[in-house]
Amino acid sequence: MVSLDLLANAVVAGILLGGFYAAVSLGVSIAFGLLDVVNIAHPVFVILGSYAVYVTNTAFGLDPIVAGIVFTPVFYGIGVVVYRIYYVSFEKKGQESLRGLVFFFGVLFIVEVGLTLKYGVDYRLVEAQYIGESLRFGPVGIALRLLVPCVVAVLLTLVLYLYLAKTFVGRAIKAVSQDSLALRLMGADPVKVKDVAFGIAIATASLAGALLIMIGPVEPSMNREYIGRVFAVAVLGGMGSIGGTFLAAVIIGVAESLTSTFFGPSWAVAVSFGVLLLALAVRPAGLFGS
Amino acid sequence: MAVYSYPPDTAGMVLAAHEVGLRPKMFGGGMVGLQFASLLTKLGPKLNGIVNYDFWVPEPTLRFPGIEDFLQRYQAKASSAGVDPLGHYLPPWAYAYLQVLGQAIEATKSLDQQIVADYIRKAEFDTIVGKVRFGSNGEWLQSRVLQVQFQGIETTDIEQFKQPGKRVVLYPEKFKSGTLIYPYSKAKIQ
Amino acid sequence: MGNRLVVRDVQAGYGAVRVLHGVSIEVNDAETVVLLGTNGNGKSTLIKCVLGIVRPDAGEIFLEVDGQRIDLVGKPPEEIVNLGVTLVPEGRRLFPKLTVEENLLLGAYRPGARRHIDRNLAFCFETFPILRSRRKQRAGSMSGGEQQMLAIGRALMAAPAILLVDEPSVGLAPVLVSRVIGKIKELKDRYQLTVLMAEQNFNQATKIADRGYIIVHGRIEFEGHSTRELSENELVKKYYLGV
Repeated sequence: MVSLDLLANAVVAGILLGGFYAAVSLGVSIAFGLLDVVNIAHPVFVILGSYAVYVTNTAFGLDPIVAGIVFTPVFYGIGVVVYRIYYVSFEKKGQESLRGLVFFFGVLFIVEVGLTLKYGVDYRLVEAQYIGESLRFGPVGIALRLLVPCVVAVLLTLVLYLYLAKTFVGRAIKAVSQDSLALRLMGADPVKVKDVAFGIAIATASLAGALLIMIGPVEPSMNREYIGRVFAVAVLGGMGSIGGTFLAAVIIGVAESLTSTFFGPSWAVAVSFGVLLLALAVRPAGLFGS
Repeated sequence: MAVYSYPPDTAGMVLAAHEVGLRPKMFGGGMVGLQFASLLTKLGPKLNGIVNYDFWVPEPTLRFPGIEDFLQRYQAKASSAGVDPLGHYLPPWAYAYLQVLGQAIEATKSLDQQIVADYIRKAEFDTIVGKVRFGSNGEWLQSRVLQVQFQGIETTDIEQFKQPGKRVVLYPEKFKSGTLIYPYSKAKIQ
Repeated sequence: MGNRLVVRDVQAGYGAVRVLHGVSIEVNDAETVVLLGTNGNGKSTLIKCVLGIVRPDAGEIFLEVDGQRIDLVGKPPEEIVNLGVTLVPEGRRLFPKLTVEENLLLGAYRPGARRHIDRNLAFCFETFPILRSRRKQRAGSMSGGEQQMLAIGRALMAAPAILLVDEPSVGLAPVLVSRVIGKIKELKDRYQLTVLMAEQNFNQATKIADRGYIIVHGRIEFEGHSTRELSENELVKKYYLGV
């Protein structure tokens, strides 16, 4: 007999986990879903964000969330530079599909190995007052190191949603991969629009990195565990739908949490693709896609 | 409650134990990660009461000749090399392995693997982790995996982990340096 | 005063293939000028030259805004659009996955249009009531006629000084062609828009044109100063009226 307390705790933990997955996946949803840029290096930028937060937390005791926000302009800049290199070297020449993928593989390894050389393979953690504390609601306990990331992820989702829906550049970002010449006819330079969009995508990695290292220890090669998961979330969410990405992340979070609670954590890694395959069989455009 | 985990889950387990207010009689076992500075200096007081395996800790019972000098040299280079700044967990053993090999080669004056191996099986060696002797199955004659309890940790400062009394050896009997605080919750409060 | 578009001796093509052999046309303020020609004679290439999508090999293209000359050759499309030259492209080129409203708002992307966005949106909805009721619908899910209305509405959102319309009748049923042409005429009559329209449907185009040019094999073969002059021309009779 399944204990209701256990079930409730597993569902709550899954929702919180899902919120965090959304934060990690939103950047992919923008780059892959809206720009057609297969940035498999996104998770490694999340890890880079974790290390930026780790360094400032250890040196100055800066709160991880504050540190994550402080670094967003730097990550935005990194995103713009990476996209420019990608654009000039591949996209402009129409070689983005295969060589572009190889390019991002290269970026992944350079960042990962760079971090390993600088900080070693030790697991890194951050300190904050609320890490290790929890709230209790009857039988359900909510760890603050999971609740805070989920709340931050909800806010991040809202900000991105509003930005894409309500600003001129935001709408241009949504349009750019549908017809870039038509976008030029609206008076927008598609390359600049993609600069901004990719910059924003990478900027979210800084914040997601802060959330990652708040939840648990981080080491450079961990990014690979997230590659499959974030793409599963982005596709399930309907390629570029911000709200869809959040909901897809929560669905996968809950499914993983239930799986590891009742069938063991070894199965949890298979969940994201399992859910994705099931969903695509029913709705090929993703749960919230057009 | 016995936990066997790799570093990411170790940190998760320790944090979760505090989040859910876990109060078992004992807590710990085979958690990888509670031996290096990167986790010790982040978990700090949350470690109190945990009983976990380790290989070397700075307790008076484990101060063998040469270990101080070794750690001094290691720690001086550790920060610039980007490796564990304490170097308690694996480096002393790694150094001891090479001491064993070196002494065996010197004693046999040979590089023949068979001769060196036969010597290692029979002889006793003086290393920075104490006297080493192997049994017939190739393992140490007497197990040297320690069980230590985290006690009296008040901050996340790294220096405290270089002092005795923070990771008290409970087992093996020969190296015991303190007494178990039991149950877990009692050590946790201290 | 007002706006004027001048194309002078433009030669252009794709690689080794020359499409335009010295084309000159003018569009004056508040005029609707039609560029007539069947497929493959260079209408679209000329429009693309004006907007900077195709770079001419020779010749001048310039805008006169309140007496001031602005050269367009060498400028990228987005810069030309920012000067107030907007295009209703052939095949409409909407953003199919975005809503009708999002498409319209993107039309107002150029800084000069953002200030008047509320006024222009109200104007679009008044001119094309269907767009108001379909506001939240995805553009790709509308019928061809509705999409053409949206494409025109989107171009109007840019508050154009000069509106270029490339083949509005392509892919539309005849009854819809009449309606689209009717709407363009309505805009012209009410707001004195300056329009250059490339079209192969002679009967429809001459309904709204003040005057026009006939382009054949990349050359302007006839300049008609009125629709009457156009309809009486031998070329027109040969190509369009089947006489």
